[in-house]
Amino acid sequence: MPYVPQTLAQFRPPIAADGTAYARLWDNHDELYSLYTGVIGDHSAAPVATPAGPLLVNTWRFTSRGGSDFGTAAGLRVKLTVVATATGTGGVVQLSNAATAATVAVSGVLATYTVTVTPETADEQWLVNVTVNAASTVTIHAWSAEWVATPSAALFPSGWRRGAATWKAANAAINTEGFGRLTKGPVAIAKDRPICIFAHFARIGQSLLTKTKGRLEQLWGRYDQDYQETAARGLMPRCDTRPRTYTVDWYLRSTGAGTATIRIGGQVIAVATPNVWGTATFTLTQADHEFTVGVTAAVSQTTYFEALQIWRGE
Amino acid sequence: MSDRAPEYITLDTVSPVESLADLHAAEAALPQRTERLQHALVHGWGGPPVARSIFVADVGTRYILVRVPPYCRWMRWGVLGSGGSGVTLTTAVDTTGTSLFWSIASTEAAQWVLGSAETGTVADFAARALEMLATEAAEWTTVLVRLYLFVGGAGIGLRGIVFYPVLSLT
Repeated sequence: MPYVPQTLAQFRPPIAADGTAYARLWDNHDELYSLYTGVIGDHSAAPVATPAGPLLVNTWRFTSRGGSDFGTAAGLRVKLTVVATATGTGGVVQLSNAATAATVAVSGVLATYTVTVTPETADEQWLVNVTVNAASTVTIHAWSAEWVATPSAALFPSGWRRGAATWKAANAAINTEGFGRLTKGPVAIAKDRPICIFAHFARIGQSLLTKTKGRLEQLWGRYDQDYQETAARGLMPRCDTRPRTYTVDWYLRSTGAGTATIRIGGQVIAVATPNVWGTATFTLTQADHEFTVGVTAAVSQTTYFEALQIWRGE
Repeated sequence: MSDRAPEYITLDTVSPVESLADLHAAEAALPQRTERLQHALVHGWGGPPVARSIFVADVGTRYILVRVPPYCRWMRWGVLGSGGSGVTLTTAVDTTGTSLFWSIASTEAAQWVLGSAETGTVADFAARALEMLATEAAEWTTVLVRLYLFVGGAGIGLRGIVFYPVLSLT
């Protein structure tokens, strides 16, 4: 059942005695938990004609973050939506983490496909793998990952709790506890829900084929350039009316001893170790924040960002 | 269609501010406040603006998945042009085939151009593009958008552009 907007006038006394207005408040309260799905990452891929296989043609990596509720949410899943064009019938997109994987076959003209995996924990690292067989090709145009959550009846760490049937029944008491849950519910969701507000992804290993000195703009990287230069710019959109905590996760890929610097709203993050996931948390004011990344690559080496995700925190 | 604009969900503790001198007003205030908060949250405020990087060096088509909140009326878009003296964007949304044109005359090496109500042709582009995206559906929907981007002009060292849809609502 979707969220249904209500007219404010119906809550002015005398309120209709059948209790439907209040019951609707509770229904919307319950619905919001699942409706407010958290975006994990989005990518718009440059269309690349893939050769026929059998081989692994594309791989991206991303990381997911969960709020405190996601440790207890029943049916927590990561849903990957893929937009692809394929020839033949051998194209497969796989979403995997360290413990499990699921696949969806892709074929035909431009179409949207989904694949879902249940993680063991909320904070995990993921791979999107695209494979073809000898008679097929696949072009990935875009993909998007998001959380799908179905809440249990338990009290969650954030303070959010599903409405019980007794709250919605005719002639049910309207008391402080009930309105405490209702009014704090949306705040608890907004506070707890992890949202990726900016994402950059580049295919794993793709830059290793590039041997042009200098800029690798699309990859946010550099080749054979041992001094640091701005490799990319981005915008972290305004999220709130007050200062808020943000987290940035990155995976800097380097064939040598590459380094990088991430500058966001006055924060300077030095990335000294490539080829591992890194993370940093900081507080920024309530505004759009432009950011830049600078990258260095040793002689005849390549360095670029395979992933950079900025998360809205509490 | 809702009859009120969404507001930011702030993370401060929610507490009643209405005077208890008017009991009828106080009785109505709590459910109205609840509805306002629910309405704001479901529209994405306090929540998920969407930004991502799309790089096009010369000309190209890109597809993006845009998540549209329930009862969405419009969205705001931002573009980061880099290194060029002229950038033209042409978008076609899903299968309607309608083309929209947005020209940016930029002499800056890198400049943010955010769609807003005060910036002429940018606003025109944003309003029309987002009108097409506004599904006004009762639930979150994912809309596939096709972007045709052309980077041109007499730019020297043109490095491309980055396109950002930024979620916003009235």
